Amino acid sequence: MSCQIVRNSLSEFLDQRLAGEKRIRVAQHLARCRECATHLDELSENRARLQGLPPAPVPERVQTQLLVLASRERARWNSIKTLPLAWRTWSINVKLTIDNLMRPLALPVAGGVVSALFLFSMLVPTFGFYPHPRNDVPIRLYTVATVVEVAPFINNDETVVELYIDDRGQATDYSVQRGQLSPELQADLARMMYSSRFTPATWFGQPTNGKVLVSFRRIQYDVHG
Amino acid sequence: MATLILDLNSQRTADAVAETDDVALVRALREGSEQAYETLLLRFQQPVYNLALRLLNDSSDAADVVQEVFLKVFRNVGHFRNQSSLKTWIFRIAINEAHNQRRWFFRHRHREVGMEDEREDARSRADLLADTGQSPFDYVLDQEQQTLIEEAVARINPTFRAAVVLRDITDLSYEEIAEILQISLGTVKSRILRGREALRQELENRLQSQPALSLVPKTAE
Repeated sequence: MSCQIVRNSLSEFLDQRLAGEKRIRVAQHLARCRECATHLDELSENRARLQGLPPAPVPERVQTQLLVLASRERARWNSIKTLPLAWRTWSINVKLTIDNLMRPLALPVAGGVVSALFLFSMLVPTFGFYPHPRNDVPIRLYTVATVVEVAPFINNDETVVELYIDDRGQATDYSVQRGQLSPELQADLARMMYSSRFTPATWFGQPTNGKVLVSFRRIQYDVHG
Repeated sequence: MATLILDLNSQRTADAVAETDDVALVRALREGSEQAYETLLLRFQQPVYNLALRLLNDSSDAADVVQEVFLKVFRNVGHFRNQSSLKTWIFRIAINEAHNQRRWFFRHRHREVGMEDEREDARSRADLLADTGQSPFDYVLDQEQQTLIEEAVARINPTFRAAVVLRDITDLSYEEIAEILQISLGTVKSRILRGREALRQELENRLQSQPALSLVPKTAE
């Protein structure tokens, strides 16, 4: 057996893992080869040195951290080891996560909503959603005179008449814009003016004189049968 | 021969007891027993720390590794199937974590410069008490030898170092080492052989390059 083969087996020889004939042959070689025996002694000495190294004590800080870790992990395990517990823990964690997410947003969001409501309430009056009262007096610069009710008009010709309405809503004069002015028409117009009702024109809310253009048209009904 | 048989039987009995203990401990851990968690720490925190320290040669890295190991153990104990012993399983996690830590160190930490003064040899209150043990001379010699060995171990290839540490310091069998490192028995033998050889050469070089410690007694000035 060569020295090289023996040296490759020395580690196992040292650990008593060589058995049978191989162990005997290595032992025989060691008995007669001083170099290999010295090599074995060195390996044995080094192993003894390694085994003699004092075990490094675990620092107290690490021991404490491990105890804390064990406690935390035990609590975690106990909170998820059954399905209902796991579900409960999961829901708590989800709620906590949402809370933690919302907390930084809560104040800005609340401030934003309040600000929006405040600004909206300030802008609402300008939108003009108020109901229009029937008898309200218009306060615009000028409103024209309007017809409320016109009395029946007998004349059969098409006639356009401009009526002059005073501040009490009564027609005081007229001017025929289209049509032939005849004595019958004059009588009809006088009767119509007397019986019709008008709303006077206004100037800054105050009744004033105005004009109304009234058109009379002939309507013909053809009845068959 | 009779003694050998007796020894084997007692070894088997011890293994069986350990296995029963492991099963009971794992069951108690799964039930969330507080005592089981403490027992696990008491049984394994020292060997795991020692293993990590020997593999990494840095106490703060070893502390980090120990915490990571136990975190994984606590988190994954539900998946432990008793196919290996609890010790083997934990040591396998420790080896992997130490490997990860070493890889991380080479990527990041070797560029860092510590600001704090955390000396390994800082004296504690216990050091100030009267020591009835060995003499200062013996103490210094032992310290020097210990430092020499630790440095030599730290210098050998990490692959072989793990095998040597598991065999000679943690005192595990070849089969257990094969299971922890997840390699064949032949590879274990090879790594132990090459690791021991590398350690022998490393120590030889160091002893040759460094003069032996010689202390000359002097009176105090």
